[in-house]
Amino acid sequence: MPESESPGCAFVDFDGDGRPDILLLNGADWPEVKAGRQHTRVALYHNDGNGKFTDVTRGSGLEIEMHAMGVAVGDYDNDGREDLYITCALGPSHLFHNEGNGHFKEVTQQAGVENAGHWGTSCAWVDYDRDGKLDLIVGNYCKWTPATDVACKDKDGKKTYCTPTVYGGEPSRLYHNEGHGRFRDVTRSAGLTHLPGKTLGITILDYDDDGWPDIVLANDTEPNCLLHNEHNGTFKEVGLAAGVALADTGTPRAGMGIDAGDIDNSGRPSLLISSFSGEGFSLFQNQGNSLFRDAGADWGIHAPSLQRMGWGLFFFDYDLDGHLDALVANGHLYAEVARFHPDLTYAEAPLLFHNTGARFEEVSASHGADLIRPLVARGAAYADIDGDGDLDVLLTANDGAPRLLRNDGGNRNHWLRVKTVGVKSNRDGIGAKLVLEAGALKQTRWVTSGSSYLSASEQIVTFGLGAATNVDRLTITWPSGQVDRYTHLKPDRVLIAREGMSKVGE
Amino acid sequence: MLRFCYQRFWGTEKAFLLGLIAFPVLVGSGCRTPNAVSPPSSPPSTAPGNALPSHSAEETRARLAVQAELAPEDPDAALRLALFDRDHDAVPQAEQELKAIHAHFPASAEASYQLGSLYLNLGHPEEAAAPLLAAAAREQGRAEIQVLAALACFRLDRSAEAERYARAALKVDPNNAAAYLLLARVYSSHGTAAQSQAAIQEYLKRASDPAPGYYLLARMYYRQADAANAERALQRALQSDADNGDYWALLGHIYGDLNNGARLTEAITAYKKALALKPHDSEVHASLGRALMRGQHWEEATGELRLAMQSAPDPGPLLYSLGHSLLRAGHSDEGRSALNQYQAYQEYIRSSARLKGAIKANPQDRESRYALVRLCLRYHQYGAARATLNAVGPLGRKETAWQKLNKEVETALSPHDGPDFQ
Repeated sequence: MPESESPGCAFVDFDGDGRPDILLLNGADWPEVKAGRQHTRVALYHNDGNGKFTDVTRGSGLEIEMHAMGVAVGDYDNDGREDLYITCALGPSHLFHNEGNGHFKEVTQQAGVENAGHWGTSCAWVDYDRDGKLDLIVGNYCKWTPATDVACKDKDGKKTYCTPTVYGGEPSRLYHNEGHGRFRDVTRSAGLTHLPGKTLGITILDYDDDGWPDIVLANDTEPNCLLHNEHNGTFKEVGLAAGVALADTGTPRAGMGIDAGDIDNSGRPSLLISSFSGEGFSLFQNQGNSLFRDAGADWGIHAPSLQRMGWGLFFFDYDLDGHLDALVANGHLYAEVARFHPDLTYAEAPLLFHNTGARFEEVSASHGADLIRPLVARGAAYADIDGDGDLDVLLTANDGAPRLLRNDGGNRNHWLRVKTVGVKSNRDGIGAKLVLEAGALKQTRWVTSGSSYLSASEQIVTFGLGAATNVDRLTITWPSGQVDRYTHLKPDRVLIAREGMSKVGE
Repeated sequence: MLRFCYQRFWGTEKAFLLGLIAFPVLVGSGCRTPNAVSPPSSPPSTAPGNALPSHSAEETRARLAVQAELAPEDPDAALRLALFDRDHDAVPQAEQELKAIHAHFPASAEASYQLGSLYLNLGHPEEAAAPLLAAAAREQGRAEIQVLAALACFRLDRSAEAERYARAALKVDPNNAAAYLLLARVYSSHGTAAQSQAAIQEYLKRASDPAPGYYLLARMYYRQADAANAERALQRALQSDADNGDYWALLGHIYGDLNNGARLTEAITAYKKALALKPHDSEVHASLGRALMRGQHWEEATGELRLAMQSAPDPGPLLYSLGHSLLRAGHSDEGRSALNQYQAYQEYIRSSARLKGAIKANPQDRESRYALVRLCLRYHQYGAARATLNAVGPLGRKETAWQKLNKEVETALSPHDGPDFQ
């Protein structure tokens, strides 16, 4: 079963040279396979800065055989270097500490984040108690192992993948960062043991703008969970009451990938969640009173997604016009889907949604042949790989090569990219809220970890400025509570925003 | 030998089943078939299916009963009586009679055919399939039997067989419109859109009523999220039959789901037209309720969702929309109460599924059944509790546990608040 649902990928600047490198995850043969066993591992590619990447996995410390699923990138010990947490379908997760010089050290056991005995999926770093240290939320899927595998049959009597409804769910786990490289499993005390599990996607957001990070879990055939941060180390599940748990028919969808973003420049994060073919993706628009509405049909998401099976996805402003667009990676679960649904295909083209300000238009057909070439896609992430200001895209494929798509021409508009460096807050600034005003445009973005499906995009925040040649104001509210204000910023550059060191007029 | 003819619809799937489940009815010596019409020998009766207008129904039935009794080895005589009962609102009796005829005259294709078509109409394709397939094997020259055999297979998701029987019908009668419509449905579910479309075109060339073909076409385009073609096809269906609630409901879906919210008002109007024709259709009430929610007409939406819950076979999921509609309408307590009920529904569904799985795995395990009854009682699902108890065999009913639970269930079966989930 896990082989149909992986792998993910990440952009990670592991050597701190300012250029996003690539981490690709891979599955593995089952443990009982001996003859002809492929010793697969993750792959780390260094961005050489000249349009090329070099495989630097050998000697990196990452060459461990594992059935990898998801990845989260974050500097959990605030040493200025990005560390990696990788979940696995079989066997424990892996925490790799970035030692510098291109080398990682596995520290899973001493850190206490094995997530042992669970099928880990997406994961994210989040400083949920705002103590300046990144904690870790790990999604788990269901109670499946090769030994408990149920033999489901298709209509022709051939063995096929069961739906997850056949198996019980495994709730997510929350690990609190105790400092000194150690974590503590606080799932129970945080009130998360009752969750239904079958989580495939995780996103962090502050949906009620109370300054504390909340968590949304996209669950497969189970209601999605919106975990409200109660400010005391516990979370309260409010997805049902908030209106993000289910489709408007009152039934759960097959939640896969997820992202949160301010699609309507209201200052509030809405949610996009991909799902199974025939369901249509969910767009839960944040209405500002702790209520969301399923706005997929009204915003133009529902109809184009009806015949797609979506996985990795993210909001990003690909044309830098100041409105968050969206990309969804698609590909069916069943290799033989066309046998039963001839109008569906295993490989599917991604969907690119352009945000007009009031709704999305699906525009993939006019954005390059490489974008719409069908792929059995799973993971998806973005970063500016060539330093030109616009965002490029990485897609992973099931049983196939990944696809790296360079955005050419996205930077016709002006832009500002902001790299946050926390001082009192966590070093990455994960959880910081950035509000930018440029002319009539006011945009709100957040520094995040997680989102998409099993994947991690770069943490730098990219603002599209449209035709504006000046940023009137940029306000950063840090997880520590520190508020930094910048005024009159010049566009088309990367701003390194160090907590507490803003200079008006910079 | 009896002759049978198609006369009318009996059932609820008119949109899709044109000509497929019309019962064969006795009309004296004359008979009409879909493709070869013979005038009846006497004026048509106003009574449904009754072709013997010169007598009262009681007299006619008494006469048919006598004929059947006098000719115990004549399946046709017994069939006349069974079909008379079927057409005079005595369906359970007709079912028993047809089962008896089928058992007594296993070689009678007509008896198998009639029994199968009755089961199809009653919504029991699994019971319809065996007699219909037997009839189809014996009467390979009768297209209408092949078509019904195809329909039974289609309903059982046996698409390859459905296609085979539909093709067999077309071999006998190349102009059988119903067979083409069925083929289109088969391809719509298990084939390509192009195959389905081609079959619909063949249907449209032959059918006296094109509406079901256009409706199917519209559904196909709707599934492909092709709003323009879906609307075009459906407008053609409505031109032929503007009094079909299903057509208006689909128009509502097309307007509401495929037009980025720009035609929400038209969707609401279409759902209202559908409800004028099908006032008790819970799905349309629910669709209208959700469309009204999208338009932020909270009070009106709440009303529609409540109506939907009254007749929905499984009202549980509707509690979610109802709760949110109430919350947004400012009825916070009621909204929270509905959402709490929804949560209870979820817990009940999850727990009952686990127990039903245990019962399925070990049908003799009465403890699981009793646990399910207790669960049903806890969630006030008394009908389900009684059904679970009734499924226990006579031995089990002597147990103290069964009798105690039965008493609890019967006591609880007095009118109660809250919806039955299943």
